[in-house]
Amino acid sequence: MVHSRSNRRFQILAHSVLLIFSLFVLLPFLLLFISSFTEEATLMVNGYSYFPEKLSLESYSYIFKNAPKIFRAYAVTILVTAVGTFINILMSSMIAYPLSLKNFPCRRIITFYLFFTMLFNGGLVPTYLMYANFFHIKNTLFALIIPAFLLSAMNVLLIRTYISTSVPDALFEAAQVDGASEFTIFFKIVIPLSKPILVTMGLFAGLAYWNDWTNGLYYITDSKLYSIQNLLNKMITDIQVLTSDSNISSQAAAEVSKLPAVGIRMAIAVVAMLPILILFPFVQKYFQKGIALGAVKG
Amino acid sequence: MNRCGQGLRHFGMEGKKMKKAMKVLAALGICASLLTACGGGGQESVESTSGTSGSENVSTEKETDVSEMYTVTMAYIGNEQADMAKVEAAMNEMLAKEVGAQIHIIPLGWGSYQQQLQLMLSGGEKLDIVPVLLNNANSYVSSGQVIDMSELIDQYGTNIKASLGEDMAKISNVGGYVFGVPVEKEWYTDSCILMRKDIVDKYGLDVSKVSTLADCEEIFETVKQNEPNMKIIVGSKGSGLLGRIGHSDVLLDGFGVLENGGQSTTVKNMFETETYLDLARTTHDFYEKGYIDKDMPTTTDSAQVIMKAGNAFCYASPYKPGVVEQDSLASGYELVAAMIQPCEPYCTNNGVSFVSWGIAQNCTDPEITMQVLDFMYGSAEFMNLYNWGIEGEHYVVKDAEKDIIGFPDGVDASNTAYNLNLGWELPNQFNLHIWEGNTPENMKAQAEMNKTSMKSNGLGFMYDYSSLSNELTALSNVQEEYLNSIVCGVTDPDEIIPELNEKLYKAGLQKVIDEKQRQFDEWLAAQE
Amino acid sequence: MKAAKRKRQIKRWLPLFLMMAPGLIYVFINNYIPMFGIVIAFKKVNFQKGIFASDWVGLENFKFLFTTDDAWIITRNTILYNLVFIVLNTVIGIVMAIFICDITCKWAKKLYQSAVLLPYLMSIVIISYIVYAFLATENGMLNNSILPMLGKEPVSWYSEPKYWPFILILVHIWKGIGYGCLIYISSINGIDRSFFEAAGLDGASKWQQIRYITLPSLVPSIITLTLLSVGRIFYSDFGLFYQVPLDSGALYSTTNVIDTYVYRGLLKLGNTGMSSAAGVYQSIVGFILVLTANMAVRKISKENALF
Repeated sequence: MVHSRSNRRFQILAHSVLLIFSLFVLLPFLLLFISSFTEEATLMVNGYSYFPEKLSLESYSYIFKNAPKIFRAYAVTILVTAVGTFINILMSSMIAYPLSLKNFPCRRIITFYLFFTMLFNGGLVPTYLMYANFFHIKNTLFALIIPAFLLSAMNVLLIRTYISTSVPDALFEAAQVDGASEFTIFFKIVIPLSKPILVTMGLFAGLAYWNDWTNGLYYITDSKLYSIQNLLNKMITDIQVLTSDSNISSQAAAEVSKLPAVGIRMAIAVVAMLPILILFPFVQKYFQKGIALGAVKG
Repeated sequence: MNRCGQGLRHFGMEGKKMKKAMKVLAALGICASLLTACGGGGQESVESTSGTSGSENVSTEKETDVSEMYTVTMAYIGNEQADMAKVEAAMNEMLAKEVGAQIHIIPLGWGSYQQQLQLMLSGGEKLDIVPVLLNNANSYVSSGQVIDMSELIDQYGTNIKASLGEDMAKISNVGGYVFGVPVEKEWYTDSCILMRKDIVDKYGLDVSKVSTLADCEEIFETVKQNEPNMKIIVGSKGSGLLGRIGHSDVLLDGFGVLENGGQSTTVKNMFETETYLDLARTTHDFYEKGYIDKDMPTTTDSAQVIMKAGNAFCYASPYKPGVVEQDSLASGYELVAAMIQPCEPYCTNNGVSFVSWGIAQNCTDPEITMQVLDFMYGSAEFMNLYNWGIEGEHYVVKDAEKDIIGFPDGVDASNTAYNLNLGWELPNQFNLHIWEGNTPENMKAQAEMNKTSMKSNGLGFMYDYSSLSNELTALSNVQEEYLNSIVCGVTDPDEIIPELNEKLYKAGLQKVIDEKQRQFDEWLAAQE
Repeated sequence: MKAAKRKRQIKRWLPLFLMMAPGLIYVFINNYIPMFGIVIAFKKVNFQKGIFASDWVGLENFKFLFTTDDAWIITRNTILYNLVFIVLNTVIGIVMAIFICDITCKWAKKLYQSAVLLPYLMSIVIISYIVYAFLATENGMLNNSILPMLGKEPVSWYSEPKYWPFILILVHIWKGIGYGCLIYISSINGIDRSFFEAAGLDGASKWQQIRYITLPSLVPSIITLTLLSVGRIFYSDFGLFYQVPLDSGALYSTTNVIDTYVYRGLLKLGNTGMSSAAGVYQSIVGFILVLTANMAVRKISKENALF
């Protein structure tokens, strides 16, 4: 019975720690959410509060007015995220699997080849020159998908570590004896058995795409191709430049007066996160599935 | 547990193999540089791109010779306009007839222009006319991102010289390298504090008696006593209160200034000039007395937006005829201006060259590009099209006699398809129709002030800081550390400014001042 | 004989090389080709001449990183923050991951898992607004409602550098913990359940199971993640150190790091060579540190080394 009592104590401790941590995480979010529903003048005069004096839908009506722009940006973001994440995970795991085989030649060189990219980069200007002037991807959807995020060495290394620790080599050998090709082994054994890590890495790759505004900043000047983060980022950086540079702000007074107020910025932040919040529970299913994996390995 | 360790072994790389790996990498690096040397940066790729992007918007034109015309790509900083394509078509029609060229216009956002222009000007992509903000001028020149327009202006700049004046046409230069043509906006520096008229009237305050910052004390005191919940002076971080008041010719960056609106010829440390110290003391005094909003050093909202909420009284602003009307609209309250003039309104390079129009190094046909730019300075019709859109569609004439225009029925600022409204950034603002709310008198007064205001001795001089990069990075960091709390009055200047000066000198301020003085003396001598 | 063996080898591994090809080619294009740009750090770039034809200036572009009085402060801040981040991310990430994995209540598990990851979804600028909502001097939540409730005087947070190490660490944990935590969760989920079952039958308590099964199996992931962070020890999350303190000058003594220093210094100068030099400097230091750290790991346990 020692076992179950210690387990119960563990459960209580775990719940209380996680509960406190969740509150620590969620309370600021709540403030963001409530501020987006607070009347602008109340924000200015009374400051931020969980119990604002006056609520208003003003901020969301501003967003609603710009609905076509925002939906378009959603569509771009979703397309880019879906395509980018799929390719990312496919390419990453296709490198990770051979690297996880103990007797694979060039294993260490390729590992180093990948690892090196995490430390050194050529900087923005050369990267830009290559993509914009040589590959001509400026103002195309490719510009949002290809630069920087299509493969991350980190993901490859983590998937590789996972495959080599959690997927037994015996399975590969058995499959080879049965005459399965490497591609069959990859798709029929490696992918299904690595689901927990692939979902996790997929989530990170997806989030990297979803949250990215840098590619849009460097390679997109056509607003038709703005992603949702580009819209948000453009708005925020415009505000920063127009209000904090005293020379510009006095010249561009007309532009300054058109800037969206704090409540609207908060509302757009909420809008940019919403789809992920809705999607996340579905992705979560796969984390749970990982637990049943032990049975397969036997 | 052994099994867990296995994965790690895969990372294992022996020392010898490591060396081999390095060699492979080095080889790869060489291949890479060879590859890009052929395709990347250089001028060769310009030809290949210029044709393609030019032809696509030309193809809609009917005239056959249009397709052979050079398309000038022009970037501006501002909001995108829905009907840009339509306006561009109208511009092209005009340009085809008058100059024999076509135009394509790209908007760059306020928050992104700096980064985007820096990148676009590094390579060979299609870009011809670019806005050069004063802060970027030196780096564009030293890294050759814009071309020297000196000869082009002499050759093709007839309209430019006519509208700006012979002496102003080449004023945007670093050591003779003309990086752009300035725009016609208000060129002088003058400051005021804009106060809510309803409060001023309520307590019978007299703003006309004010001429210095210290003179405002009485007004602020009265407001503080009677409206205890009101924020008296508001503003946003960066400029605060003091940062908006002009007193010296800052000679580009403020590291070494010409005192008294540029009437001196000795370059001095701004933080040691009496004028600045006085202003800083007054500002701090106001802060101590609770006149200055405590959130000013961190706020990112503009003063106009803060005013809108209804519990703020005033803010500092540069002054020009028309600013009161303009800001009354923006802040939602009728305002009055209290003039703050540590010296009389003065004209400096920082004012004149705040924005200039330059020609990018990417440009493959500078001659025709220059002609198009010059055309803009001369053609009121083109400028109106650029700034206000198409008559009857994007604006209508409201008062033909005064040349006042406004939105057509059913159109307003929230649903208009074209209303660039960037007069101060575009080449020739004084040629434009006047939007409702502004008056032709204001514009005339501005143009008049440009001619009559006191000229700084440094007008026309811009120093070349390419040899001072190390000092300037350190100086920028030191100044950023202290400036915000000085301009918002948070800390006592008698304590903090000596500390700041010490750090500035340590970071190499004297070297910068000496170099500035040297270049300035040389330039002065060359003027005679 | 040897040739035949070689042929067999090629036949055996060729499909795997083909499999890797797309990814490796991408890395070559995306990461290796632009590395030619490292030469920019040693040049005075003039774009009219082109990058390669520009004049060499030796180490001139690197000088600004060392000739300033602040060099010591920014290096110290960068390293100390990163060390604290590495330790806290690992410890808190593992604790959270173990708790989350071993919680039996299904829906609570889901809730906690989402909560931990949630801040990762938010842009740092928005986070800076939220932080501002708490800390603003006149309008902030802390000064407006919380401190008066405790009978304390309001604090002007944005001009008191001493609080910022804690604030920045708190914000960093808040935003970043989800990443490490999820990696640990997936590693724990990958542990063979039968180990726990066997241990349970032997009467091992929950704590003993964690001590002897869970933690050792996390070692590979911990080392990988730590070595990778060591490689980036001279870099810092620019948004965290620039946006969150709202670039407030009074706070520089505790918020200025290499990245923000370089950004502020070059904002107006726009010197491509100098910014490139800063990047090269950061990379090289990181590279040396990773090699050293990796060597140290090899000394202790060869199989755990990264390469």
